[in-house]
Amino acid sequence: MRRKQGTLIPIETSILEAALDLRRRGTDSAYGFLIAREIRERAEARLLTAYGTLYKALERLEKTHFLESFWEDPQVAANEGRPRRRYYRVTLTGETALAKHHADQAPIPNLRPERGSA
Amino acid sequence: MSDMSAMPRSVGFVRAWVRLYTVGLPTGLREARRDEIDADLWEQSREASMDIAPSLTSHVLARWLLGLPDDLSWRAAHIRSADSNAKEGAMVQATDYKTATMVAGVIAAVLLGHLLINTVLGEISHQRQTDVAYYIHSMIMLWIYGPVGIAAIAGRFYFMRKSPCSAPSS
Repeated sequence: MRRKQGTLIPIETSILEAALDLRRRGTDSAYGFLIAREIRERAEARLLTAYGTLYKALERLEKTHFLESFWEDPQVAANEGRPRRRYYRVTLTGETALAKHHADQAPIPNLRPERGSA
Repeated sequence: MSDMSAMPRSVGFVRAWVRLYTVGLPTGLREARRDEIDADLWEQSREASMDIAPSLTSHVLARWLLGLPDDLSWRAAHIRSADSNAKEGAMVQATDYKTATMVAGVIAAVLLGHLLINTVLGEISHQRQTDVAYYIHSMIMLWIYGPVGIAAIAGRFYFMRKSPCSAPSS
């Protein structure tokens, strides 16, 4: 089933929220594993997000311009003796989409006056 | 360089799976996915080795298993995308070929017509002209036909070589 353009599914919401939380704590760009760990901690889950689910969602978010990515300098990774990381950063479009998503999810306030009130 | 060979078997298994389901995809896309999962596996193994997250093997296998449907659908989506790009490329190439053939055909027709008219006129005027004048006239015609003809042929091959199929898809 095709979903409406600009709407977010739960894994995408989780990724954007995790990346924004990390940014608030001083990590402007985050790599896949860091985002997965943040999601796990926020959800108080035992498992990290599955590889396929996580990286497919990251790619989708990048295609919709909610995220942007860049590869780190291979020399930095080599100096630390690990594979190079791909960093993701939430864009303004992504922040707006997440804010809109939260607004859409918020319960509609009851505007009918209560009985007995003037 | 990071040593991924010293990792547990479950890590090797997931890496092999990633290599398998990315086979046949465009190089850039394939390498990016492999590198990204390699980095994730490395970070996860390091976290496990620091006793932050125990039971690496079961955890890695669970992440692999739960992500299987997404791995397969991701591959299918990229294969479909590559197919549609190839079809679109073939259509553009066919249009380029038709355009180039048409342009070359029109130029050839104009040149042939010009050549015929000049030959007839040349034969008629030759009756009244000297051999030197006819020679000069022929040389001028040759200098016009030559570059225009070469340009038409070069243009045709330029269009033929311009194939969007060779452009890598991201």
